[in-house]
Amino acid sequence: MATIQERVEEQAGREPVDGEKHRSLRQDVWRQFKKHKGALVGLVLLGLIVFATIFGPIIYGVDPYEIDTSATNAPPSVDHPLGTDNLGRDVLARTLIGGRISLAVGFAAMLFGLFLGTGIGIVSGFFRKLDGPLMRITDLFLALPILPLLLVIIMLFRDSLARAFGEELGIFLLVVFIIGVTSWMQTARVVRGDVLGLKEEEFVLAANSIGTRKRKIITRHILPNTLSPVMVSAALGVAVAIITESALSFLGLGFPASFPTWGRLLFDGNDYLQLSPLRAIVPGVMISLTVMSVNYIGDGLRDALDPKLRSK
Amino acid sequence: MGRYIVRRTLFAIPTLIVISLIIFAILDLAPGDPTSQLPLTIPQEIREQIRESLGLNDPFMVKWVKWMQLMFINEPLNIIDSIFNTCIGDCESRARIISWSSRAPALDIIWQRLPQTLWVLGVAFVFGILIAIPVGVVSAYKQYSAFDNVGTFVTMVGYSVPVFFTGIVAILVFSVWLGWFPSFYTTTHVVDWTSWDSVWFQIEQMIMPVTVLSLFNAAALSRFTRASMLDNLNEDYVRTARSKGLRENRVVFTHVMRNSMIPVVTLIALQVPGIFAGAIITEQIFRINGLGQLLIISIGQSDVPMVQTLTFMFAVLIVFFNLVADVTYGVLDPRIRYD
Amino acid sequence: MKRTRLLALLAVLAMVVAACSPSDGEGTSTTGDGGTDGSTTTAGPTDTTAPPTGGNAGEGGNLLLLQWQAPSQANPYLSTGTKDLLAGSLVLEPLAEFDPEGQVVPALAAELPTVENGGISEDQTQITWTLQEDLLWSDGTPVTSDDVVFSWEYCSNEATGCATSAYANVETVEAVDDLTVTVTFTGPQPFPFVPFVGYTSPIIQRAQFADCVGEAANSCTDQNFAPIGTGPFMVTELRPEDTVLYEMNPNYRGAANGQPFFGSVEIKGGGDAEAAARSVLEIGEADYAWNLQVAPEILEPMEAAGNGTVYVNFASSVEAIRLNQTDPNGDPRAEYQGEATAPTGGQHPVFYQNEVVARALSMAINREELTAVGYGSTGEPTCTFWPVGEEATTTFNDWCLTQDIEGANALLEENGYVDSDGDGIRETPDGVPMSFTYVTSTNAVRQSFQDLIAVYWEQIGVEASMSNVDAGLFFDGTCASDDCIWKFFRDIQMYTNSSVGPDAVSYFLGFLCDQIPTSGNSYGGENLDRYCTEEYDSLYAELTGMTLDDPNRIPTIHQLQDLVLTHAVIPLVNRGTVSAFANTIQGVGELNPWDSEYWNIEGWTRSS
Repeated sequence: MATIQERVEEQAGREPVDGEKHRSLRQDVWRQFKKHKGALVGLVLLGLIVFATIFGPIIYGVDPYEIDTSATNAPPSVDHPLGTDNLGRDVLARTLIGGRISLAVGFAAMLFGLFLGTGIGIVSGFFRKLDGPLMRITDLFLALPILPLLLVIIMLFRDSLARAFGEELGIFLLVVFIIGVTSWMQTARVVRGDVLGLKEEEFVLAANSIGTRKRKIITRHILPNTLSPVMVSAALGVAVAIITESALSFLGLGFPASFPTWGRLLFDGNDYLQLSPLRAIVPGVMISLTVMSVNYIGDGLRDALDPKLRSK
Repeated sequence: MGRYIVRRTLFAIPTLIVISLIIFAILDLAPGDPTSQLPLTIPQEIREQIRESLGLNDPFMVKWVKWMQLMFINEPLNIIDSIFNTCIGDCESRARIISWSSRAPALDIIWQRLPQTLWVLGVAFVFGILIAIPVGVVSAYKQYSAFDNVGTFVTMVGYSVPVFFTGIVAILVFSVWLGWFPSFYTTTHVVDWTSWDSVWFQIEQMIMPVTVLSLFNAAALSRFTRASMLDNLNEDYVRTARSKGLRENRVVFTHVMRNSMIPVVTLIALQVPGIFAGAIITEQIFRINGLGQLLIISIGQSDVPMVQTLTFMFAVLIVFFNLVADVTYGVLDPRIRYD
Repeated sequence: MKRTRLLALLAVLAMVVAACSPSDGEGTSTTGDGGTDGSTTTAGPTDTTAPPTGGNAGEGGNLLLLQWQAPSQANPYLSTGTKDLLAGSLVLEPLAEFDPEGQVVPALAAELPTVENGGISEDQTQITWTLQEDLLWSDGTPVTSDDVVFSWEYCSNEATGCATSAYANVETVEAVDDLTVTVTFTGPQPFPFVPFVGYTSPIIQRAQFADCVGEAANSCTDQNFAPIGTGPFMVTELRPEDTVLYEMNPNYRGAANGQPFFGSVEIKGGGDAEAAARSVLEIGEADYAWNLQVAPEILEPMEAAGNGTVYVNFASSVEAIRLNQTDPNGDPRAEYQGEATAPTGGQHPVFYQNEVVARALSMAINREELTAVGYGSTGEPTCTFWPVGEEATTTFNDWCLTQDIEGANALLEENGYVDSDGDGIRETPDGVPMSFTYVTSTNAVRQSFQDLIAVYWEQIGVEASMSNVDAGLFFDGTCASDDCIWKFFRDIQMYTNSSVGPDAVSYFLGFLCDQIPTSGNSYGGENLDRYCTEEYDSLYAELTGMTLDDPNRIPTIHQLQDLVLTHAVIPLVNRGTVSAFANTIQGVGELNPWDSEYWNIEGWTRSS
């Protein structure tokens, strides 16, 4: 099943032929990327969100875990810009701290999935014998009902991992691992298609004929040229991971209540939608904004990395 | 063509067997207990009796082989019997996969709920396609135009805002504040196609879940359509067609669109697991008695046979839709040969 | 041409997906209307709590009940939770049931057996029931004592896997004549109203279930989904985990009195408690919502919408802190101490029969605040785990209901619990830091309780390290995980315990030495707290010898409670049973926390 995506991306690695002035690929991509207004806005927005979640809690300085039963379900005020929850905890502080975990899960799971996907894609594209089995495994994973299995697995292993690594790290590792393990297939397919094309390119054949070792061919010649589809996958991977984590938390099977993530905050705030709507809306909007900016960036990257579009 | 379908179907069987083993192995490690919902005052001996009567204490391979036999021999026989009103072998006392919580055949319960899931999913799917393709085509044709920017923005929103968030907001706005639609799905309603009221009732209760789901479907699909159209619009054959003096409509709709649909159909199939996941959440939020809701309930009750069978059914549906997509792909793209 | 082919394909694809109509699912429907016009039976003397409606039975249309946990089937003997018991209780009836105060009242029985009327034998080992005359099953056949005997036979077969402990002490059940049946117990039963009493052990029809005993129980889907009963309704269709549809039972004994008012009932499941509450209270689209475990600040504004009313009643569901009473001195019964998996190595040296610590920890707690945060009007602060009418002890109320941080500090100080190393945490006189592990199930209310209690205890120099475990593992009867409540490897655990019936004898069994769960008995005992004193055991033995009208009975129950409360249990909140009714529904009376909430459904009516 060679998709158009694969076919396009097979070509993406080729050097631009008709460039008269010598421009580096990076400059080229950046020039095109800048044209994509949405991607640019997304980049700025994501930067802001990341900055806010990393430094926000320090700057804001309010303890997100502090219980104040005298000010429960409070509307926004000077003390609590976004109000408080049913235990009197500050919603803004919790949203900021919750973002750290959500983003960390998103990026970690994406990196893990990307690593797996790229690895499997390259191996299966490069080594003929492994291609069949690996692609069958990929198909198998694609046929797995992911969410049901995720629910079951989390229910099963949450507590033993929590005991081994501690409540927070244990669940973090589990969620990252599981999202990673179940999201590499698309990347693997795209990369494989790319590698299959690259293998027949003159520069690889040349490297092969002068006896370059396989590992070097892969790291020197193949890997850099698969970068563009990988980058697009990466961007989309972050979005998928963040949504999956919040979906799990929303079904009550992600992070525990004492450990706020955006998904968990949304789940907890869901019941209080009428009483203090900000509690659910703020994390919901944050998830949406993050995913949206990431998707826009992915979109911009795709356009920028497409040589046919770039030469326009 | 026929041979290709047969071969693909045959190939799906080992895939499904491996999947069933994976599902089974994962669930076998489950520490859950079907008696955990009973009052604490029920003594352990009685709990043990219940577990024994459910066959919980058998070793892993025994349980798997039993389940495989039930799933692939007894249940199909049962279906044949009930369709043709026959009685093959010991049809009276034939063992079936029994749910632990309802003590009823798991497949009967699934069969009861399958229509709801397919109905909501299907309508959402059709609406999704109806919205997505025009939006995707126009966005691509007028890349970076105002329409494209707005369209991109809207689809980005639809794609990025999780289903559970839109679902909750929809209930709050349309059921609670405005009171337009019921907040839960009356599962016993039988649509009488001759009565407008009955049909309208069905529309009313489906409108929110379907809108939420189709918004999500449409967003993803129109992204794909746009990307695929863009790819094709830059192909040489388009230039050739234009230079031949073909009318623009014909170029876009006959040549570009047809070629662009090929990858879109495949991507639709790859989206199917995601759509089922979305359905699980939608059913949970809108209280639709579909398969997703049953899954969540069964996980909560540690009803292992039910979870196994359901997860497996999801796998079957996914494999089936992949197959449909592959075949469609072949029909659309004459370059693909089946041999 | 090619374009149409593409569109046709897409359409076909869509049609494959949408091929089925939404509601053509095949429900297991059963028609059970044998004697259609046989509504001539006279009503029994006590089968109604509401006045007769004066109208004809079944004229009230449909009643929509929301049970967010939907029934799986309707046979209470195979139930996996209250949801199934409730579904069965519209159809099946016991000989006697509990009223909202926990008093036993006759249902199918003509009158309540007592020692005076000869129904209960002098030695308390036998109870004889007499059925009302002319009772009919919904299929029109007469109810006989043989059906009662069968109900016991069905459950006493171990292979059936019956989910009730009602017959645990039953030696045999014998039919004396068509209407009389005698239950013989294995020993004296001071409270004999357990078998055939309440919605956990109703009478099922022999004719219907004869082939469903033992292993066959699992394959009797039709019977389990639509049992034939004597109650006001009968099942017409049951969709597991979703919906149960009922129709009026034409042979119901109250039919001549115009009962039941409603012609049909629908139990609808799905969603969660909050959504169910919203449907009844705010939107007004359903008549009843069951078990509304919803935060008070959410429930109260919903009720203010004016469509419905929240009903609360209290039984014996008490959220309590349990202090691990394992004897640290190598007592042989404390078998699990050797298990390396226990996070504390099985050592809980502080709490064992320690009156001072238990009292100080209890004094430091602000029960009013906990109740307000977690339960609002659906809970009340309590100082006993057995808040059942006169049987509830009041000895602790004078000090435990008001928070007293200073008093708690002084008490610890006096007894040598001081902070000797200046880290803000007290040490015991033996130098053990007052730092405890505190576990409960994962649940918003319980976590907020943990958060609040951590703050209270911090003020008396006690540190609690809080953790929570998924409810499925915490209450997992197989104890597959080390976190199950039966193993109790931590120092403190918190959960709600409640009694099935209002029988103190069976509840107080759970603090006897020989009821301690150990690895030896597969963690099978009921004394999860590991409380064990000779004084309690001998006092309990006295209680089991007392008849229900013994004047010493209530003081003994008080004494037993006081013993446990002194060392092992810190009660927090008495949790009410909470349900909501639409304002149009009349005749509900008080919510019944001891039996089915549908116990008097035949008397419910709807005002226009």
